Amino acid sequence: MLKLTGLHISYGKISAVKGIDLEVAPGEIVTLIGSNGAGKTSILKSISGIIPAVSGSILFEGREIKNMKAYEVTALGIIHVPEGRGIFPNLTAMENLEMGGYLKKNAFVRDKIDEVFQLFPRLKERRKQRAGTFSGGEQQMLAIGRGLVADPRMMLLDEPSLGLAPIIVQNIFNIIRQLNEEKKITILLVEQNANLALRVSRRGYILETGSMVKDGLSSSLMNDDGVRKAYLGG
Amino acid sequence: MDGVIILEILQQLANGLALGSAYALIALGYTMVYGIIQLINFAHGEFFMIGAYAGVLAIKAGLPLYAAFPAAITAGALISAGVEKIAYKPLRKKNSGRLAALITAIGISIFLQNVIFLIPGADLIGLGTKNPMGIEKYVFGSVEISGTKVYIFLISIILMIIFIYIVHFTKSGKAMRAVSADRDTAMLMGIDPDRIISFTFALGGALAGAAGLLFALDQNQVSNFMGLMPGLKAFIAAVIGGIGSIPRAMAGGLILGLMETLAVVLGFSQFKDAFAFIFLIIILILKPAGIFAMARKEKV
Repeated sequence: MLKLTGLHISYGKISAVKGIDLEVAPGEIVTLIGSNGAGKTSILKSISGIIPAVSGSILFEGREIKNMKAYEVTALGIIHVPEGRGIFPNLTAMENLEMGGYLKKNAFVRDKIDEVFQLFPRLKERRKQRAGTFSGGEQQMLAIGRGLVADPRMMLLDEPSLGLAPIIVQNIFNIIRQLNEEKKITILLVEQNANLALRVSRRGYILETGSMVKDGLSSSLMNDDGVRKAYLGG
Repeated sequence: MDGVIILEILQQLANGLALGSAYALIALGYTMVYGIIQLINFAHGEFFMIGAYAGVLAIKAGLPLYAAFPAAITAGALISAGVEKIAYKPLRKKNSGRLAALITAIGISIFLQNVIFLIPGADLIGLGTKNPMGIEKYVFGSVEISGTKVYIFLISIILMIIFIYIVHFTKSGKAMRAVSADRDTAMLMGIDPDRIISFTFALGGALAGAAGLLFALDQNQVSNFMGLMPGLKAFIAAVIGGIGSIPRAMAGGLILGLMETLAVVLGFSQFKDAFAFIFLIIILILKPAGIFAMARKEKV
């Protein structure tokens, strides 16, 4: 479904991502693991068109999307839920959800928002409040919910566990699994929490300072000595 | 004697509110544009002037007032969005920075003020007796208030209500707020920021155009430099309110209008322009983020 080949990303003269390959098949949850600054977020941003790739290719269903604008990529059904959640703090929860459906028809957006409210009842309670007043967990729910309103075929989730209490993280990860199984959304998940990410995903990639060092089935990565030492706390 | 004083106060209050609400209309354009691309658009006063010309020419051509306003609004919106497309957008695409854009804005301002001279006699056009607002007076008991001031105030309020409706309840208005909060994330929603920026300029220009016609009706004339002072005053209004915020820009406009009128009442009518700038300097020294930022801080 998504295929990155030889992807290079740089900020000025500093290269952040040095020619990586990555593939996601339809229906999969694939995780991209790496420590802070490894280049995970840069990869997601270049897929969604927020930052340009220097070289390499990004194919989505066989189509080159490398030079597309971010709003054109969104129209293809690739929905990026950014790191730090990226909600619009000055808009209400409801308005945030409506923005998720910016490219869709109003009636469709209303139905989708109802679905999101079933998934996250908390958002329905707080729908008229400014999103800036939300707790971290609520903001993450809102960011994922907003992505769902766009009716994604593929979701790029950037660190959904960041800064959240363990019980909320568990809840978010259950939802991610549910979206994949019930709504058939293909997911590329970027995480620092390797333990959780490998448990929820089918396959994983390990990124270190801009290069892929390992990839494989998540179950085998979890038993890999190197991965265990570096990312799973021994 | 008492009656005269009350009459004077009410008349001045009407003057202050009329002036202030017109400033508020212009200030909204400054504050919205600043909110979305962090540019102080010094050409904004000229959008006000172009709108005034369009409205006055429509009236001189024999059109009624309700047709002159759409003409002023359309002209303001078109010139504003046009300037954005021709002058500011190319700079933005080249990441040329805020200073270049600011200087460009001043250049556009001077250009638009002077391009009017190309048409002989166009630098000052009087309405004469064609002014549809005339010299009606409203009589409340023993108090008389000039009709024009009341119209200006009422029309400004109606326009602001429509504007608030657009910003809060339409898809483009919501997208505008989203882009001004976070342009990258807005793009991830499928929003094309360039279209929303154009929309913002058009909306701000429309309000400035309407305000221009209101001013012209009040002064009974248009001139090519008429946008300069109201433009600067509205900029002051936006800054004293706290630039970037819509309700604060409106409040800033009203406060400035009332302050200026107060200066006139106190006998400083020669200095009323200086008054506005002194007020700006005081605010910038004491509370650079705007007077309302101070009120907020004290609460916390």
